[in-house]
Amino acid sequence: MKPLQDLAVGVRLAVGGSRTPRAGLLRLTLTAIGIGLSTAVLLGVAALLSALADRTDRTAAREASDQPGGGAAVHVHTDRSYVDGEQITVTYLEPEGPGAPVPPGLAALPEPGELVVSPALATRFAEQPALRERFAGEVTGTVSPEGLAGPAELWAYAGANGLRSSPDASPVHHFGVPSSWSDLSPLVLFTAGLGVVVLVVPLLVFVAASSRIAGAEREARLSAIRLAGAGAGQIRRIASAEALVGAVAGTALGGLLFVLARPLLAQLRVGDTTVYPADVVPSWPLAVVVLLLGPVLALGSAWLGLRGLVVEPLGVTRRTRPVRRRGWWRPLLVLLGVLMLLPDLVFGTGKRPGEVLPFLLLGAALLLVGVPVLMPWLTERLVDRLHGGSPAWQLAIRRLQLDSGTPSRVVAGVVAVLAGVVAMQTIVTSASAEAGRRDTERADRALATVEVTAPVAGDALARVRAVPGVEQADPWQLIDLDTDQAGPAMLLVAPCPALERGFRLPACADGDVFTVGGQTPPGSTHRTISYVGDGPAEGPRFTVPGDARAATLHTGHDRTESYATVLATPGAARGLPGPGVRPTLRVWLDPGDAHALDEVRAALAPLGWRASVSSEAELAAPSEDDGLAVMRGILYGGAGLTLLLAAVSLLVLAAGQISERRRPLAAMSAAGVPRSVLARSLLWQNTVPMVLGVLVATGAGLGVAALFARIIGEGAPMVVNGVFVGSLAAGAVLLVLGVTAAMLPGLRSATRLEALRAE
Amino acid sequence: MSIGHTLLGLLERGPRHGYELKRAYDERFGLERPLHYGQVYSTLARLLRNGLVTEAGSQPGSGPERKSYAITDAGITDVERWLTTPENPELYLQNTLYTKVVLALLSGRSAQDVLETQRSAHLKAMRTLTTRKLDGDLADTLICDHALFHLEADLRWLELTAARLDELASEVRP
Amino acid sequence: MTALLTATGLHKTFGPTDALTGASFQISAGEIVAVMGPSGSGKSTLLHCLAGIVRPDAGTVAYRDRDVFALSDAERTALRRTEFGFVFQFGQLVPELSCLENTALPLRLGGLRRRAAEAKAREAMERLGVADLAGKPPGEVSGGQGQRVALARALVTSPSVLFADEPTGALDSLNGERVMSLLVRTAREDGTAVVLVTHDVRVAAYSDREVGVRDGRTRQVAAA
Repeated sequence: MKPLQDLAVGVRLAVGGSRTPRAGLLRLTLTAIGIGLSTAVLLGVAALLSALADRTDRTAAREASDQPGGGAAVHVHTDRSYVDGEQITVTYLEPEGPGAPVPPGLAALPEPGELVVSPALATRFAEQPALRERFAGEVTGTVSPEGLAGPAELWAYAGANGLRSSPDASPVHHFGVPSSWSDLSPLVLFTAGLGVVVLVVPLLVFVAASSRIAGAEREARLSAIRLAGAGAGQIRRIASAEALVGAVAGTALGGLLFVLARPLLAQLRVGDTTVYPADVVPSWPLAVVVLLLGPVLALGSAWLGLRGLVVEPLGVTRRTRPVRRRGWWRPLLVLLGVLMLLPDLVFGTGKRPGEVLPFLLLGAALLLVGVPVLMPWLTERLVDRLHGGSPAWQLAIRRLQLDSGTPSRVVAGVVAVLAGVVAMQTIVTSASAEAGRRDTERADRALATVEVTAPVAGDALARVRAVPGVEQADPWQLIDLDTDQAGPAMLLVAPCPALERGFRLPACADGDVFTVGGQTPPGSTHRTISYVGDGPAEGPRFTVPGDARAATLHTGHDRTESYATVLATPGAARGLPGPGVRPTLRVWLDPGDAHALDEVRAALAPLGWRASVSSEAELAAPSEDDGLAVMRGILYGGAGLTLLLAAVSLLVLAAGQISERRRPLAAMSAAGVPRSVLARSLLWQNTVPMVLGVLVATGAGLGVAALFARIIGEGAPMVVNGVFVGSLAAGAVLLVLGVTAAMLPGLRSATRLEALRAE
Repeated sequence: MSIGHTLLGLLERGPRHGYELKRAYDERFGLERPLHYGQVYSTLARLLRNGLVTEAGSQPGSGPERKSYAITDAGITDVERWLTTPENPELYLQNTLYTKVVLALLSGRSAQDVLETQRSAHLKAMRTLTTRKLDGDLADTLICDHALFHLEADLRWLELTAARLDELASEVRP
Repeated sequence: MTALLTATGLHKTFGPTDALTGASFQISAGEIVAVMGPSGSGKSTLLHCLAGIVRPDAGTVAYRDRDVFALSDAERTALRRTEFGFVFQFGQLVPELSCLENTALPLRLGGLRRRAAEAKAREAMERLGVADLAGKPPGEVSGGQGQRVALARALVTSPSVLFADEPTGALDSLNGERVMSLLVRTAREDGTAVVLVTHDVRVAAYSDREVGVRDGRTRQVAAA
């Protein structure tokens, strides 16, 4: 029974046992908020992970399996197109006979002319008639959630005929492949991973720091309890209970916050990735771990705080008074992080995202944990080297020398967030700058490509040419050539007007052949390669005629035609492309007609699966824009939250410090130390760790970003958003000023001499 | 301790017979050493001779024990002077001081002043000792300290008594 | 003898408590005056008013015929730093600074360079026999040593008035005697006036004269 009573005493002390009740309550609130926020964030992450896992399971379940099987197969052809940067996937299905497999989410296979769409696509159809016209057939139903990745997915199944005999479709006996995380986009994984680190690390740091707030007061209290007859073990239990109250309250708060934020969380989208609200529930083992984390952490840090302390009835003595921080493992952590971010050099991996991603995430996490861990040590080293200065400066520095741990621990939280935020912001900015660059350079909005099946090629061409917004449409076939020489070689088959759009030709008539560059000289013979079905296959041979003339690329053209090394008019390339290769049309649209592309799609809609339209502009348009916006929101939100928490912590810390040092402060003021000197010393005391923190954070953040950019930036230059970094630094400075200003009333009352009275 | 001054002080409240004076004295101050009648009358005779008391009439069937005495103006002045003259700071003078305080209370004079006067005298003695101590060697210091500690004890008693005067007043003047 | 510091008719209340109800005080240059009274009598408040730390509700305090509370806050702060010295019962040393830095603090605040300030501070510490504590933080010295360092700090600016509020209150009698004899001896040598607030008669015995405080009122005790 006794231990329970000890705990009760601790609870009593935590709730209202403080000499300054407001400080005690503030500490409790701060601890609760810190643990609450981290619990909520971790629960959210756990829930999102489980939602992503469900999502991955569902996308795997609808994937066509290549396992052979008996019975009737269904022939499947998938066509992807875009609307407003979002992908629309239409899967055409044709069963061989009854008993053919049905993909999940469908009650039955749609008949030809029938369209079963996802709810999101149905909504889009209702909103955008032009979009509806792109797809022929009657909408007869909706795909149920078990067949969709997420609620916003634009997905449709269409009944088709003729697929069975087309080489473009594959027979499928089962749907469903083993589920794998690698299906998620690296952006999602990266955001999730780094985001967790950026949001959670500082919160953990705050939890640890909050237990140190008003430490002297707590020590005095514990020693008074010891005087009243408590044993050392009881002290430990009482201190634990005191810490637990905040942690348990925080955990409850976290649960509540999570429940409140869950609907918002469900609406979160990164790129095209959305999740079902019902899936946003953490798996219970993970939830238990998260809910236990706060209390365990608080207990741990309370016990760590008691380590090296001997609570005696007449006061608290530190067994090892000036704990020299043994720091060698701290830089090691950072070093390890840096090494992890150089996986290709250190571990000999390639540069493919899938390969390096675990290294990058681990490395970033190590760095973001390592830097705040390094901070107190670094501050101590630096501060020990500072001497002299004005009295105010001297007071502040001496104070920091005596106890740099607590303020720099608070600042460490800020450092972790700032570093992470600077890193992510820089990566995001660089990535979007790079995407923008590619957009403007490459994408020609007035260009579209139509792939059709051979039997309808003529029909398709006629339909496209009939669209008012189309300037020109011609067959346009790029064929890979097998060549002895290094470098790619390609044959472009297109009629003269089409060729003349991209190349300077001496003169052109059907039957002519031209060479571009020296890869495929006149007279050489090459095997054509076609990609039908599973892999490259050899097609018919092509000989460059001896009378082929030279052509040059129009300047400024670095589109697909820039790969062509030999140009042939259709008359010179009979029999090409070989069977199975889908004929392609190139369409030049009227640049002034924004709807030209939609009109082309609508014109081809009756052909169904037999024609599919794509546009470079659509592909290049970064559909991640939403994702970047979300990430930016998380970054700013996280940064703001952390700075705010840091401000509150610093304030509580400082308030505790002032009340602990009432007497010396009052005595100094009585002896004629101007209050302005004391105020300035407070300012320095807050500023020094903060400036150091911001410097370290910016350095670490830019370092991580640079290392990331090296790996995943594909040579893109790193773009540092000076405004962002500057505003963070300014925010930190404002914070210090604000905290110091908020401390002044406390200082004023402490120096108001009542403190000198003996009682 | 001056029995004469004490008897004078007791007479201030009104004329009394000799035996009444003895009873009053024994009750208040003579706990261990009650006065002899002879002592009372010889003292009264001396006071009478000095003009500090007068005979205030006697009961029929005269004899010294039936005589009643009253204090004269000179007697009042004499008591006054005695009360306001500090005792020479010496050891164990509480008895005298206590008597003075009670008498001051009984006679409606300021017992506070009695104590305060004594305090100043004590403090002055202590100051002298302290000065000697500052200028002297260790032997001086030790000797002075001995005296200082005793004087300090007196002073503590004085302070405590001063703080309890009201309480004491209600006891001696019901 | 002209008065260095004069206070008349001081009244001060803290909330419902009357701390001073008409107190007067006077001290001449070089004089040592004990302010005595039981706890709660208002003697510390009297000291705080005399030193210009607490503004009385009524009454005046004049230092060298200048009204202390007519000065601006900054001027009063400077006055306390240059003309007055302070020793309290405990807790007046800044725990972060070493003993030497503590002693040098008033000089440095007065604008003296660090080297010069610390040299002077070392001198003051030598006079009080605590020069060997120069580099130590106050937390590591004994109570008596700490009070002597505090005394060194109070006297380092050669003040005209030293305010001592129960300077031996937290010390045992031997250390108390040491601190007091050092205080008095140094003050006498420098001609520093001392306002000595105490409830300890043996401490008060170091004074030239005594002022009693009871229920917020002063009584000049005749130096009988």
